Amino acid sequence: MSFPTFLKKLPGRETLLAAMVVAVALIFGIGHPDFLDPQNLSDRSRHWVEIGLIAVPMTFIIASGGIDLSVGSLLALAGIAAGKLQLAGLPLPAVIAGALAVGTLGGLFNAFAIQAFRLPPLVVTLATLALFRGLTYALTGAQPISTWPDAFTDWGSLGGWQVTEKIQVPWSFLILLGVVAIGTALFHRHLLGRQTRQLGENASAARFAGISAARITYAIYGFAGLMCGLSAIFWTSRFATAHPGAAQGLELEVIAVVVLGGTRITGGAGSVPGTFLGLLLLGLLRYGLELRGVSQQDQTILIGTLLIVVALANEAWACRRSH
Amino acid sequence: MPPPLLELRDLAKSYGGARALNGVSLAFRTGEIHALVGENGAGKSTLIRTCTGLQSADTGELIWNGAQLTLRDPQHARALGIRAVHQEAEFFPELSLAENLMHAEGGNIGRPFWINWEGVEASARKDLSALALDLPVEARAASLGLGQRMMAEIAACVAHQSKLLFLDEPTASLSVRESEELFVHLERLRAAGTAIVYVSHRLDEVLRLADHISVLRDGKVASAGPRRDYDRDRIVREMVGREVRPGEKSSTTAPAASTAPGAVVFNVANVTDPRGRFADVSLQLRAGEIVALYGLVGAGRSELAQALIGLRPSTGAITLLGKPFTPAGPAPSLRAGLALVPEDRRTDGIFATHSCRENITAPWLGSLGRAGFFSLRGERTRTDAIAKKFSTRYRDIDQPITTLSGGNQQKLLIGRWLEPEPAVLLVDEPTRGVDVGAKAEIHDQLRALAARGKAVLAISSDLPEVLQLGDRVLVFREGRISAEFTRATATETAVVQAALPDAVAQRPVAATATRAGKFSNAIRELGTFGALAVLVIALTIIKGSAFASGGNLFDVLAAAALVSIAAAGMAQVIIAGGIDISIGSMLGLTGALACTAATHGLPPILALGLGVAIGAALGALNATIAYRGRIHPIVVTLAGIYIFRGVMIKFTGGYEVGGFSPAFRALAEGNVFGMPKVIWIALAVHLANAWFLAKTLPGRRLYAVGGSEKAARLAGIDPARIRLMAFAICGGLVGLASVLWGAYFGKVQSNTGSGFELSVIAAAVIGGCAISGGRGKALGVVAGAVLIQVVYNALILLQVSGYWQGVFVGALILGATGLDGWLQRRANAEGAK
Repeated sequence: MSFPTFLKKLPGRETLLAAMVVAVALIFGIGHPDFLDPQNLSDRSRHWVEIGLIAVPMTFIIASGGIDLSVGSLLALAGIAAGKLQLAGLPLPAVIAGALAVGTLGGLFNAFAIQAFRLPPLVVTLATLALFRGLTYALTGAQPISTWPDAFTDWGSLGGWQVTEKIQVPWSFLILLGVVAIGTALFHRHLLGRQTRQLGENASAARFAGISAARITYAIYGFAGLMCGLSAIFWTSRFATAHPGAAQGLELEVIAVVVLGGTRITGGAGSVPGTFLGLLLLGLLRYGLELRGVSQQDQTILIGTLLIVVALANEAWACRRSH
Repeated sequence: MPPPLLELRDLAKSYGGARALNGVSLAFRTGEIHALVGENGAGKSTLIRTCTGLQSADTGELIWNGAQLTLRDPQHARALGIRAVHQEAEFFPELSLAENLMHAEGGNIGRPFWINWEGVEASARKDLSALALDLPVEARAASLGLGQRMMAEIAACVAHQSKLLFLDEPTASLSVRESEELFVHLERLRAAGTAIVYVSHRLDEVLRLADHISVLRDGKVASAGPRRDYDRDRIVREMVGREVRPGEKSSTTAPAASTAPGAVVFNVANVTDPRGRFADVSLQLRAGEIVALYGLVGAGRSELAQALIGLRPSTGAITLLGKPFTPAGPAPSLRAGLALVPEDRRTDGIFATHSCRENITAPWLGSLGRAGFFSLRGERTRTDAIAKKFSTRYRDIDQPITTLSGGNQQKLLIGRWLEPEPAVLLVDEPTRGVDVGAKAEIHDQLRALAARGKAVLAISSDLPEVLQLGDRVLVFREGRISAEFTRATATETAVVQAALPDAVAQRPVAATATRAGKFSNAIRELGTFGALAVLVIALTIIKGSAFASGGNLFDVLAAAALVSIAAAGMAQVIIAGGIDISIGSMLGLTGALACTAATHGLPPILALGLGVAIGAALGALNATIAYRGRIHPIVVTLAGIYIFRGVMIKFTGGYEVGGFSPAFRALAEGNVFGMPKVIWIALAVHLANAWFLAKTLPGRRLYAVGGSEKAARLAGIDPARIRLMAFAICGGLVGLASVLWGAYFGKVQSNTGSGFELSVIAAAVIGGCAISGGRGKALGVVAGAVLIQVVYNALILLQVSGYWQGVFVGALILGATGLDGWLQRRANAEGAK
């Protein structure tokens, strides 16, 4: 068997990631009974949802050769919008719809600025990172909105599907699974995902092939905005407050998850299941380290190192594949 | 026979598993033009790269003037008098022609570190005079034509008395007149004793110029000998390694005629480009015929093709299949029955790392499924069939397309547009860079397409191809159709005659930008300062002394000082085409370390030095991992955000560092000559930065690397090393800012510097640094940092809630970069006219 054919028989990146997730679960699970405790895991998974929801469209955005730094700010803005509507006495469905609408509009604004002014996404979303966050502070005077009906806050912090008496899957996590499934189908079996990758691989060739960069840009940044709105609802429900300082630095976690999942930062390649596995890997690692009493700063150092190691491995992988 | 100047003995070189050179032995002699021919992938480019120090061979040796030679890098080769003009004609678009030549020369004109700009321009003029070229040396290279840049590069080689000159496809981007001039110069150089290695696909040129011909095939010398032993047929035979079918051997042999043409399916009337690249083009295509459109490179042929499918604006009337047709882009055109295979396969055609399958279905994947969803199995079956129809050589439809040879890639790209077969196919350079065998197969496919009743417009600058393929031949000259021939009347001389520009009416050099273009450029240069000036004047008028008092202005500048110091470093990183988003955490870490050292008795000035050193080390670490490990700097420095912050908190245990001595605080606190110290320090940093970026060789190399990495490599500049320098300088300045921060605010906390990277990048971007690299000015960055603070100050003075700050900074970034982009497009559009 020659070397290249041998490489082709190697398991895919996703399989390796899944193996890493299982390994992390085993390493921490064997030594610590609390780790695999259903109640703990269920609680824990609520923390992953906001990052995970946004990481799905971020996979599209990074695969298209772009980036979105504004997602944390947009989440906060959508949360504040929901809070304002709630204060105005609107029913809950209208409040939720309002958050989703504001998120989507914010995402579409990013797309508009990228398309209409032909600016690099890094610059545009750096600007809207400041702009959206500024709006949340300006609209609230830095005051959080903390009057929420119990039904709403319980739903996000306690509610879930009771599989057995002991095992509960939070509603928010179920929705995340749904979004991952839809994202996977769109990315790997739908025109949107294919054209997104082609745009990221070679924008000029995409233009000659009749692929509309504008349509894709609006679709994927709008998708990211929608997910920011959805995440804002879970965030607000979980913390029982809409805070103008919510989700600061969230964009970094989201990008880290996507890169861990094997999406190429320069565009052209990516994987939504990979992103989901990256989320689980990061989440379980944090959780396990915390249970072991590893300090926050040591976790941070470890995760940063892991990011570099995975990126190096990805690069080595891509190099060998291309020969 | 003169003795060999450079002898190649048994050179071998492999990339991965592929053997590019497989035991090549050749001798290049003084006063001789040595032609090197071979199909694509025969090893010619690898040979040139090996002989000019761009890479080393795996085995074998080079003998220079009788002694063994090991080339270290391109500078070494250049010092010996070995030079190459590469086919790609890579250049630095944003830099002047003079500076381009300076970098190509290794930048050692005049002094090694400081640049003497008059000397650089004078030297460039002298270089150009070697080929009697009259080009503006101070013009941006992007405003010159490809041929002009190529001639300038050759002129530089001539002027520097190279002993051995490699020319790789020099005429590919030259006009006929420029080519003729080049030939005269080459003959003169030969007479003067220069050894010239001439690589070309154009066999007429080879037969005309060469003294000695070597044919490479599959990394080996297939045949070599004096010119008199060769004719066209023999060269082709040796290149291919087999007899070529009669139909493609010679341009005079007419192929079997296509079926008689039918009705007009595509009628183009008076199509004109508003930007002037072509005008009043009228042509008709009939079902079942191939019309060849011949024209020199740059005559506007490709622009015409792009306009016909709606990728460029145009005016005029077009009918397709009897119905009026408005070009609206490739996708609607394909639905209407019109497709274009673009000219440049690498940049406009393929998705390089994607599979053959995905490359084929790109324009019409949607038609394979419902509501945009498709089945992979269906896609595989479909694409396998297409690849087979074109007798493509491939193992697996899912292998990356770049693992195929150029010819096979081209077959797939043409196949991409034949599903379903459009009524009219436009093919721009159907066989550029394709080997002889694949060329014949592509021609057969195009003929078969015509035989099935489709119309084909084949645009080509390959004369034999035009004569073989065209049932009719149209000739394009300077944006207009200048002649039409039938198969019977089309002869080589007649077609070329019709394509040659009139001697008098040469196209004007586009280098002299119009006044509007200059105006746009001026605004781009001064935009940030202008905005700053307007704002300052407005505030002075509205708020008077509340704004324009010394105290308030110093507060504003002091607030801008720390950000601007780091932004000066960030500007270097961004100009070099990198980015470092870890500098906020870096500020925290260096600040904690250096300030803690100060509290333990390290003298303040040494603490400052320690901060700079640690920051420089961290920046260098980022760059090393990013560029040696080949990971995008965003990923590396994203990890840096986590790691540096983690290490910092581990070090401080989460407690703030403070309780500094008055001597330490005095680093940043207090005034000198009535102005706060931090402003003085920032001023010094910016003056040094401005001087560094404008006047020194390392500074200019930042622009070179950011402008074109490939051109930098060819000039022997190592991009990784230049970027390492930029990251280290940036880190050092962040370290400086961090100690000043501690001294100014009296403490360093766990969250010190968090979000700092955004203010710094914002200042750089607002100050005119292009995030894509290659452009930015030191003083612009200062203006950017100050502008942000003036806006903050204005909000306070106008009693707007401070919470609006973020909104204004965001709007400022969008406004500044949006305006800059608009002005750039305007300037380019003006320049193109």
